[in-house]
Amino acid sequence: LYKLADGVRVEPLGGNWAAFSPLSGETQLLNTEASAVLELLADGAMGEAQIAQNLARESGNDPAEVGEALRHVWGQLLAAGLIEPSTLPEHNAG
Amino acid sequence: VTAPADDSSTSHTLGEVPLPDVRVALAGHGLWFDYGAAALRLRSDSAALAAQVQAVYRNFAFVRNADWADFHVQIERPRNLRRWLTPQVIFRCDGRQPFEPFPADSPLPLLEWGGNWLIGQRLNDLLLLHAGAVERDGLVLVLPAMPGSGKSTLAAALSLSGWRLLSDEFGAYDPQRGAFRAMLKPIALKNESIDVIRRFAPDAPLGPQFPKTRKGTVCHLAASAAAVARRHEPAKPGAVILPRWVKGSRTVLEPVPMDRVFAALAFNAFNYETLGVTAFDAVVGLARQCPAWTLTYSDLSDALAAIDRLWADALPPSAASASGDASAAPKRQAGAVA
Repeated sequence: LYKLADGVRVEPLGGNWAAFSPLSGETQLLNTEASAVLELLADGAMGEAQIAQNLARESGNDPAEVGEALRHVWGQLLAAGLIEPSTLPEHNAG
Repeated sequence: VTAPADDSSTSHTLGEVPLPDVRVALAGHGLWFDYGAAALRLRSDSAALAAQVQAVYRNFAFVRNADWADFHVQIERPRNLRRWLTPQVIFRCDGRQPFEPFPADSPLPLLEWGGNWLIGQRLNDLLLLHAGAVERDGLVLVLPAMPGSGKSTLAAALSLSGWRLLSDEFGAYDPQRGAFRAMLKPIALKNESIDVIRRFAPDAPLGPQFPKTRKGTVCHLAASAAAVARRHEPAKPGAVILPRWVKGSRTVLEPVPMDRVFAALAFNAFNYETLGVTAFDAVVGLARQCPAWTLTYSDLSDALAAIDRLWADALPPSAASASGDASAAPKRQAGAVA
């Protein structure tokens, strides 16, 4: 499971999102996949598979394909300090 | 925290007082330069600096004492043997000499370069966007750009065409007030830009020309008396234009999406990382609030006409008659203009 890291600011800017991590002090302009992941995590902690399923359902794509498209996103979001592992499901983490 | 310099020591401007008085002040207790959002105290034993400062700060008050300065600067002749062979001047602030010396006949570029460096390094009560900023109708047009994009040339031309100059280098945004403040200094024009401005405005108040600096030939445009008089007047964000001078191009304005405006403002700022989440929130707010365009141009007059048309279209009808009104906010959406 992943959740938004504490204190992360995520703001929609038109079609994309900008995110600030107090942990790294860095600002990221997010691509579509990363924006979608953070939008879902803003509602609470979720696992990779659950997020892929949700996005697949909304976009009408195959969950396996969506999962593949997200494969690199997790590492990038973790490295940027925007998400962190979560052991228990949470709600309204953002 | 900054406080405006005390203008009470004189009612004259630097351009009005005799040159020897400027020299004496620089060699003694110093001169205070109030840029609006910051003030600098300058002392100097340079023989050339007084006349140069008088030329490009002609409309600033002649202030020989004040309660506050953010920066205490000295432009000095070095005390080494080399001064007999190649006369030089050095920039000092708080006992430090952060730059290599300049030729003795070019103290003004050293003062301006060093002053800008100090502002960018130290003034962290404001978000310092790397951008020109001009105001009309109480709203600021922000011109963020990379070096060489024509930002200073465009800011200079606008300032000579009825817009109030706040700065050609610093979009000094006060996150608490939600307003821009002036960081009013002479505009540093470089290389081809100098003749472009001379042709655009033959009577433009330009100072001496300095060839062979590290940035090529440099010449400074003095701020107008009206801009100096209003330098403590903040103004609300209006719009953003990302200028790009392209030889032979026609004038084209194209809308810019919000995320690109955010990137242009945040990733070009001097102190964005230092201010952290305060800067993030401020730039998000600016990107949402300000309609934005890219401006590709080669003809300065044509570019200014396009900006004037755009400004009239982008402003709500009330803004033009409500100068300085905090409620005056631009329309976010606009189409392409060519």
